[in-house]
This record gives sequence, C-alpha cells and structure tokens, in this order.
Amino acid sequence: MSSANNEWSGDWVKTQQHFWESWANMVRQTSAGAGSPAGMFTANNVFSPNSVFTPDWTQGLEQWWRAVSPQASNPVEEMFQRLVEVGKNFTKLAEQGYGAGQPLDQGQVVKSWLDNMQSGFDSWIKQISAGNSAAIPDWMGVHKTSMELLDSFANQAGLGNIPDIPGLDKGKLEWDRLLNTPALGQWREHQQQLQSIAQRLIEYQEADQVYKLAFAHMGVRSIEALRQRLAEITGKGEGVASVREFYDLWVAVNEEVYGEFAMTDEYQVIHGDYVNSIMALRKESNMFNEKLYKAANLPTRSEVNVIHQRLQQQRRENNQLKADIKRLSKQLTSLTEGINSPPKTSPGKADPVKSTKSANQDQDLSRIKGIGPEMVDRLHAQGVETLEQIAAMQMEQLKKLDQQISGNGKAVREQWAEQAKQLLTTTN
Amino acid sequence: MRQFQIDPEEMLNEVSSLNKKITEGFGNLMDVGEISSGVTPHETIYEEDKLRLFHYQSADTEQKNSVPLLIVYALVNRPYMADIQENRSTVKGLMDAGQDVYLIDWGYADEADHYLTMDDYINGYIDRCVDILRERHNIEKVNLLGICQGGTFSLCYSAMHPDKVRNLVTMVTPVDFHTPDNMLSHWVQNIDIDLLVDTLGNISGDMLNSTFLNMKPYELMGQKYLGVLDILDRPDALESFMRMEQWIFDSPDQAAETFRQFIKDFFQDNKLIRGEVEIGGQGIDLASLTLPILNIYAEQDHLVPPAASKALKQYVGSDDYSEISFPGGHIGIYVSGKAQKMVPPEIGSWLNAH
Repeated sequence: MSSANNEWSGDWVKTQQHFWESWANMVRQTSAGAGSPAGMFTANNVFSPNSVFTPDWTQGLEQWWRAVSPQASNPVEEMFQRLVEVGKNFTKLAEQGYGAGQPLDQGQVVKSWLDNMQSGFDSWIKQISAGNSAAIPDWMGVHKTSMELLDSFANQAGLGNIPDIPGLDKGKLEWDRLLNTPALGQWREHQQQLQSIAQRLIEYQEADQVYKLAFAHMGVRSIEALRQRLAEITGKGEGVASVREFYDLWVAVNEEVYGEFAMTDEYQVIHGDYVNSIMALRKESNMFNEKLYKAANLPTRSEVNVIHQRLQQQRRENNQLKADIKRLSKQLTSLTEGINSPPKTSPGKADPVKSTKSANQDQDLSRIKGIGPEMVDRLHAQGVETLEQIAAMQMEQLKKLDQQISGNGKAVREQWAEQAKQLLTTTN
Repeated sequence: MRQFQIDPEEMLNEVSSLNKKITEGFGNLMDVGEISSGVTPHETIYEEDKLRLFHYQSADTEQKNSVPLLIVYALVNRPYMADIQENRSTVKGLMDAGQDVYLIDWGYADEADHYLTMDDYINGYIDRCVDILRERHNIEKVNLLGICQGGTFSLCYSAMHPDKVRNLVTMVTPVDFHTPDNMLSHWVQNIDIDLLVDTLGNISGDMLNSTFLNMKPYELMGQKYLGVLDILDRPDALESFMRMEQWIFDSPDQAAETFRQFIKDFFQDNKLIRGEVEIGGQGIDLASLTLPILNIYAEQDHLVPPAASKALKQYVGSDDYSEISFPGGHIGIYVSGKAQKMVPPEIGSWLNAH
C-alpha cells in the first residue's frame, strides 16, 4: 500500500514539475529579466518537492501575465484574473481532497476534508461572535468570492474616504468611552461630527459582523447539504467519477443552500441593514469632507448638485416651450390656410371651389372648442375625421369615443356633437 | 463512503490536462484582439445629450414593414446585447423578419444626468425619438419593442401617448415586482433608497453588477470560468465568450432620480399594477392600454421571473394580447442560437400581421 502511495505521489510531483517547468520557460521567454518566481525553485534551479503539496502554480501564472498583459485587451485581462481565481479553487479542491498523499481511502479523505471545512466555518463563527475581525479566510475558496462581491459594495461606496480618526482600530470598548464624552470647546461641532461618524462606523462594523455570521452559518449548512447529497448518491449506487464532477456538485449544492438563504426574511433584513449602514457612514463622512473642501475654497458636491438640478429644470422648461411653439405654429399655419383666399378660378367654377373650401373646413376638427392638435390626432386614430361624424353622434357614442381618446369626459362636457352641428350650419 | 470513484490516476490526468489546457490555450487568449460588438451597420439619426438614436441599415431592398420598430432598451447594461455578434443578433433577426429597426442607445450616464427623472426619459427622450420617427416615416404611430426595464418604460409611454404607439412588444419585462420568486425585489425591500441615492448620487454600474452576480455567485463567479477552460482551444467559442463577458461587465451608472423612483415606486411599492405610478404628474393606468400587445418572457429567467412578466395579462385592457415563452434565461433569449431561430421571426410575423 505504501509503495502505491509513493508511486502516486511521485506521479503527482512529476506532473506538477512538468507543468511548473513549462511555466518557468514561458516566463523566461516573455520577460528577459523576470527569472523564475520566488520560492518554487531552490538556488540551483532544482524543483523543490517540499512545495509540491501546496504548489502555488498560479503565482507563476500571474507574474507571466503581468509581463505580457500590456498586449492583452482589458476585458481579457479581467477575465483572466477570474479564470486564475477559479483555477486556484479547483486545484485547491483536488489537493485538499487528494494531495495529502493518501489517496487510497478516498472516502476517509473526503470525510476529513468536509470535517475540516465544517470546523473551519465553526471556528470562524466563534471568531466573529467574539467580535474579532471578520476578514474572510482564504480556505473558503469559492465562498470567498461571493463574500467579496458584497465587500466590493463597501469599497465602491468609497469607505476608504473616512476621515482619519485617531485610534479608530482600537476596538469597541474604547470608543464607547470616547463617544460618551460630551464634546467641548471651540471644536465642539467638529468633534460632534467625528463622534457621529465613529458611531456610524461601529454600526457598519456590527452590520458587517451580523452579515458574515449569517453567511458562516450558511456555510455550515452547505457542508451538511453536501454530505447529504453524497449519501444520496451512494444510496442510488452511483458515484462521483471526476474532480470536475465533484466541483460541479459542490457548486450546485452551494447555489441551492445560498439561494434558500438569500430568500429568507432574515437575509432581507441583514442585507438591507448592511447597505444602509454603509450609506449612513458615507453620508456623514461626505458632509464632514465638504466642510474641509469649503475651507479650502473648493467647490462641493452639494453645490454642483444644485447647479445640475436647476439646469435640468431649465432644460425641461425649454423643451416644453419648444413643443408649445411647434404646436402653435401648426395651429397658426392651419388657421392661416383657412383664412387665405382660395386659388383664382373662373366664375363658372365658383361652386366646386366653395365646396372644396367647406369640405376642408368640415374636416377641421380643431374648430371645435376643446379639440387641440393632439386631440385631433387621437380622433383621427379612431377613424373620426369630419365634423359630420361628430355631429351625428348620440350621447352613448360620444361617451365611447371620449373613452377611446382618453378625453376624461371632455367630449361630453364640452358638447362636441352640439358644437359640430353648429359649425356645420355656419359653413353651409 | 464509497461514492467517490475517482481513480487517483484519473484525477492526476484531470488536473494535468487542466494545466495543459491552460498552457496551450493561452495562445488563443492572447490572440483575442479588440472585442467588437454592435455589429449590424447602423447610422445615428439623432443625438441628444448622451442619447443616440440608431437606424439599422440592410443591404437588401426587400419590402419592409412600413411601420418602423423602435427598440427601447433598459438603462441597466448596454443595448448592444441585442446585436452582440454576427450570428447572434436579435436586431438582425428582426430585420430579416421584415422590420425597419431603430434603437435608442442611452450612452453612459454621469453626474450631469443626476437629475434626469423617469418623466425626462419617457416623456422627454423617448417621446422626442418617437416624434422623429413619426415625421421621418410620415405616420401617426410607431411600433415599440421594450426590453426589461425598457419594457416597463414602454408600457408607461404607451399609456401616456396612446396616439403614437401602434403595437407594443415587451420582452422579459417586469410588471409585478412582488411575485414570491423575485430575489432582486426581495433584497431591495429593506434598503433605504432615499439614503442610498442622497448619499451616492448616481448609482454605479459596478455596484448593480455585484448585486446581479451575487444572485448566483458560485455559478457566475466560479463555475462559469471553469467552463472557459473547455473552450480555450476554440478561438471562435472563446471570442463569443469574451464578447458576453465584456458586455456583462459593461455597466453604465444609473441616473440618480430615475433610479430613486424606479426602485421605490416599482420595486418597493409595486405601484405599477396598483395604478399608482405617476410620471410627470400623469397617472399610469395599465387598464387604459388597449393596443395590441405581444409579451415575451424567458422560462428560466432568474432576474425577471416569468411570473413578474406574465402578470401583464391581467392588468391591460387590450383585447389583442399574446404571450410567447422562451425556454432559456434572461440573456439567452437574445443571444442563444436557439432563441435566434425562434424569437425574432415570431416577433416579425406578429408585427406584420398587426
């Protein structure tokens, strides 16, 4: 058994060595001075087997990438980072489960791996509950990425811009004392603001802690779920045939547990509290900073906001005016066309001209009070194009038409049918 | 625990072939040059602030639907997703289905756009684009195709300007924001949006993106990239992947005031289906919509769950309401090969028949 172990370990070493050498070559080729990444090779450039069980092959990768990356387009570079990250996690998975050199009792290895993950989560929970830093441990692998996404929220909210408060990292107890000290002296307001910011910072740290704690508990549940899933697989007489399959299974189980977690009422509360606490902190530190900008005679965001707001309001008014002018021009044009003398004709043709003119007028729905160009459009859309049509409408028909054109009762209120009839009498 | 049948030798092979793939495939990764998207030829016929109105041009002179089709995309993410690459372009598909296609490209909002409201976007920008098309084609009414949030905007637009819209197509459009399976909506209920917007101003695209990715973090930030290793030796597949990747992370910032109203009124208070939305002082009543509507949703949409879209049916007044369901996801409905064969042709024939 032990010789088989050694054989396997030897193969593992050889694989890594081969891989590592080709990377080293790549690095040497692409960047003349880069040399081999530190730590993996001994002074004589001999591959060190001691590092094999946790080879950070990705270190070489990243160095090589940095050397060549000016040539790569940016999205590729970003994707590559993610690729490296997932590659790391994948390999870690394989190594944690199998790299310890005792591959034969797979079941035992996997169980102890699961146990380790579980106790990792458990101890992290203890750490957080004790109020210690809730930094995300590296062994969390894939879980870390998810947590980091949420942390990026805090980063993007620019929490790095918190004004420098002395002793800020000293822990809660000291701050409680400071915060309860009444602000005195000529810097009273200044001090009050700082105290308030410190309070917001504490609240953010608390919200962060609560979030990570809930997440850690979810992590424990995900291990349980994975155990169960594996048991089910055994029960069916099936098995997991490759590391990739195991990885996919792990992802599926995590997504399930996480999906459930993310839809709980508890999650809704802690997610909201987390975001709100960041914003509350940022808001106050912004206000504090603005005082500093003003003192330095610099424009502030608040000031610029007012300018933008006024400007946008002005543009709205301009657009409205433009639209009104356009509409009025149209109305004016159609009115003038109506008034202007008709084309010259011989007396014998007077009647056709007259009837053309009156026909035009009979099609001019805007002669009815309450019907503007927009309303004309709507009426046309409903197939109503002449005064005659309106004049002929009974109350029910008029009401229906009013609904169709979103008239809000206008057609009835302003007695369009009546008006139409009047206008037709005048024309004729 | 006998469920692990991973042969150590096999495992070795697996990891070493992973390494091999990376080594060999990097040549291909390096060769992925400039990633171009928005491939169908188009001209910009109107510009206002950051907005550009595109008209897509086709080589063939085949008879087009005389009613132009205006695509109104969401403010979240970039519209070129509908035209992402040669053989995966919904825009091209629509053109092939006989439509004369226009699209509003919103550009990238910055703090100068902070005070743009939904009224400014819908009754301002969209209305002016619609008027341009009406004049250009000498018609009363245009066809609208709204995508996701753009569909919600289009519904509001159609309710406020019934005289200008002939037919409305909505794709993966949220209408009811409180269906029980809506994760995004679930997350946002306890967030103080006024505090958020008052503090940050415009909402960064990256922040929104983090939120979307966090809906399925293990898949979207992990497993997906492992899949890349499988295609590292296929430059075409790699390029397609990179295009999508670029699009996913190409997130414009959201104008502060529009974000405020959209999240508070639509996501938090679900006012649209209650008939309580007001835009520029005008009330939006879905029941007042009587125009023909084609509502398309994706069955595995985890961003806008089917129930959120299907709700439209019970709220509109239209007699002529049809639905199409696509077996795929929120993005797949535009970019997958399967979708290309199914969706644009169906939209085209529906529009031609109306």
